Amino acid sequence: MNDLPFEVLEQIFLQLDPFTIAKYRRVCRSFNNVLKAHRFSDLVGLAHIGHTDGGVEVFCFVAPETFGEAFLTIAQNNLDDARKTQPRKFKKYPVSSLKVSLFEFLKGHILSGPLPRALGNMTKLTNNVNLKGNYVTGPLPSELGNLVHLKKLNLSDTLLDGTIPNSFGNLVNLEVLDISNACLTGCIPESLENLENLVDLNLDGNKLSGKLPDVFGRMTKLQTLYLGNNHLEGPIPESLGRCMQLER
Amino acid sequence: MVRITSSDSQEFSVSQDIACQSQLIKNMIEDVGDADEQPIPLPNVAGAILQKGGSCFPSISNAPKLTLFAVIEYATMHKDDPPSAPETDAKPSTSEDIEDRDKQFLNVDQGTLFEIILAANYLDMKSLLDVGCKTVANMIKGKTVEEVRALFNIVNDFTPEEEEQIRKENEWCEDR
Repeated sequence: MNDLPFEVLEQIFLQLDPFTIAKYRRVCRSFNNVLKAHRFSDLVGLAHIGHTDGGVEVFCFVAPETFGEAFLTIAQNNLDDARKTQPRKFKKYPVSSLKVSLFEFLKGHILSGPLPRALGNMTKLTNNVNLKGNYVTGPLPSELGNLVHLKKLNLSDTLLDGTIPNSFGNLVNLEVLDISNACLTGCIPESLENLENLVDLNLDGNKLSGKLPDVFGRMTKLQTLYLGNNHLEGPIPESLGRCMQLER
Repeated sequence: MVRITSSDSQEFSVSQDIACQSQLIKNMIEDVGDADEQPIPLPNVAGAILQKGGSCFPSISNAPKLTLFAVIEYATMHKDDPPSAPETDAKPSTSEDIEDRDKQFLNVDQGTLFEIILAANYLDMKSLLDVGCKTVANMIKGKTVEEVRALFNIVNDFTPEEEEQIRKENEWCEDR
């Protein structure tokens, strides 16, 4: 059994509930190698951590890439309230294929932990992804760039860090991009020039640095632009002059 | 008819529609053109069995080298299946849905089961590989780590430190 080829073992584990297979890492090395592999990091679920003093339910995404002690610490350090009331109680909700209704379900709850790359599979999302004010952590998965039909993306007031992925330039239907008051670093990618339908762009209150790239030439619908409270430098690009209805 | 030979030099004659359930053989035939000329060698699949003709598969389940024969049995059984539908978003298949005839077909000892799975993998027979993996998945389902090791005779090849590390990482998902 354990000398079956990698791809066959993978096939076998793909038949099982993703939340029962992680424990089989401990069977032997070949199992562990398969179960740690990328394929299984596409699976994701929702764990119920507990609730705050105010009775708000707290959930976090669970992907195999974040299995483990380190993940628990992250999730719970960001959730002081939940930690006090319900230490270390996890209920597992397998989400074998992510559905648009997931975000409906999350409304009114608190979400914590890292954003899983598998969110990029939700390509049917058309309208709105709003995680404003949630305790989501970690880098922005570049796979979010697959959500090409999306009109509004609001990741403001979160603990997300890292750079804005180049793939965000694929979100050509985006009208609102708000990642203000997160912990983003690095430069603003030039690929954002493709976001021709953008009306509101808000990257205020991050640690973005470098020169502000010349990305505004085709953003003719832009009405509000907030880039303050960053470490951006250099001149204001000329292309901004073509955006008629702007406040800053 | 297509002639195929197993690793132990047994030759089988099967009709083309049966042989071509193996994507590997199908590709070979397409590459070679006329299939009647040369037998197709399958060096990675042990072949043969008792005498051809008389026995059907379940009754020979103790024979050690029957893989290719078994695979042909399976392909014959499924030769009239409609081509597999493209995967839909609707409902992912689960390890529960195995047809009864396949269940019976794969009701064999472990060694044979893994031989069949390996052959299906090598021969690129998606439906057989799928049903074989589902069968193994069902054997794993609900078992503890120790039970899985015992069931499949798997030796724990971690050092105690390594196993402890994984146990720690998995604390949240192990049954408590």
